[in-house]
Amino acid sequence: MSHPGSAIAGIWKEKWINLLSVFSIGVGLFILLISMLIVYNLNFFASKLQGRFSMTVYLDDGISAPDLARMQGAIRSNPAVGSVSYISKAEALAELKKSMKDSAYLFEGLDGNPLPASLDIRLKRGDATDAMVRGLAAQIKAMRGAVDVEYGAKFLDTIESVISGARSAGLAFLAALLGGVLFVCYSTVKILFYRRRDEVETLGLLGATAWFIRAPFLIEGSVLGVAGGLLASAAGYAVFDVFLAGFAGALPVFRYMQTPVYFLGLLPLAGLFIGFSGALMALGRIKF
Amino acid sequence: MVRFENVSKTYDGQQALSGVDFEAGRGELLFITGASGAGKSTLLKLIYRAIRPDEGTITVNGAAINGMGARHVPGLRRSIGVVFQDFRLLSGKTIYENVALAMRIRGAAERALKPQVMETLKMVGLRHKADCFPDTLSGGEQQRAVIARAIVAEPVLLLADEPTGNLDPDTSAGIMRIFKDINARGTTVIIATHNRDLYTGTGRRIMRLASGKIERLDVG
Repeated sequence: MSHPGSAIAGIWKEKWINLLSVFSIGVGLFILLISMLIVYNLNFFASKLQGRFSMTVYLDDGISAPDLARMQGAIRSNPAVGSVSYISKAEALAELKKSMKDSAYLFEGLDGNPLPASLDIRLKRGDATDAMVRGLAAQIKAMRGAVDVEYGAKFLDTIESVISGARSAGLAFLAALLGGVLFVCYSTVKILFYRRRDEVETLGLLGATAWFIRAPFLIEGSVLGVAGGLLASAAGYAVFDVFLAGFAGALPVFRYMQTPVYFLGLLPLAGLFIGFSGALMALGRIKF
Repeated sequence: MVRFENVSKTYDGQQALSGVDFEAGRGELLFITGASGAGKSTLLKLIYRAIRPDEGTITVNGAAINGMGARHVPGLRRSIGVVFQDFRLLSGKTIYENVALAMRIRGAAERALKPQVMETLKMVGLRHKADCFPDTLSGGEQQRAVIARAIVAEPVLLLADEPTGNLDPDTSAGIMRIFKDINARGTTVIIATHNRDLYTGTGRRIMRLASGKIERLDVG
């Protein structure tokens, strides 16, 4: 019987332990999938997040017409920008007075117009990422005639730190889960190894090399990992296709949830890697 | 083929072998005898490096095995066929698989396996039991299966520890015939036994052990 044959015979011989192990690995990898989904969606939403959908550029009172035209042209050429409109000093004051008509007395005795002219920039929904907003702001600030750019940087920072914290927590949870699944594989192969220690000892006495002895156990560990991964994939498919699709109709938030199908293909591969690594760790050094 | 120079071994302070010197030449059939606890099994285990000596030098097929690194031990063991006192047949494998295992360990191609395994099983009279599991065989049949596993890869040295244990005289005689055949093909054979019938009248060297020391050397 070759190594794969020995491994299959070994798996069948200890089928209940192995079944339990596959189930545990499957549950672990399924939780891993859900965690991956959460982290993925956080990343997705973070990339799509817009601090605000407009930006205001306050202009120097002495800005020349060519500089203003150059600035408007540069802003319009940015792919995140939907429209740019010029608000003169007079329009700004009129707008302020209109919005504060109940407090009109504040403007009595006002000498001249203290408000600067500005450019009101409307960003395209869905296309403007945080990085693009920040980049555009920096680009405008560096232009001649721009005094200040307002775009809600603080709000963006807050959202970013919340998402970053959630992402770190998610990744730490992923690592802990991977460790847990690895431990299941490690323990299972360790148990199988001890249950067959007489056989292992005999193989050693007959002159088998360490890798000859390890091979069936490594195959077994890998098979358990892949089987657990397939189980988790099947459960994941059910969640993606049935559960989320069903909920999308009822709760709009699920409509925007990203469910990358390639995650399902990654799970058996992750299972293979974890199963093999766990088995390798469990076997350690073979003593002669 | 095998040389012991002043070899001693203790187990938890109990002297198992003490200052043993002997040499088994290439192609020799040597008997090691003595009462239970005389050190026969210890001597064989030292040869296939299941244990290490406390003192002395052991040379097998020209290589000093005392300081041999762990990665060279499998190679040493593959050059030796061992008939274990406790058989060590794998219960989950058929007799064919048990015997073929010794070939697979030596990296034999699957194609070459079957003819050689079946030929060896025929030699020990177990061809018809190839598909049986060890537990379904009698003591004598299991013993012959172990011999088949030990000789299938044609080792240069064959060690047998009490190969006729509790077997009846006819079966023992049959097993002895197998050892003589193997020896006649040039394999060095060392048999540890307390069964006088096995070596009496063979005309071969007999090394008698008592309390871990060589008591005397005879010819059977």
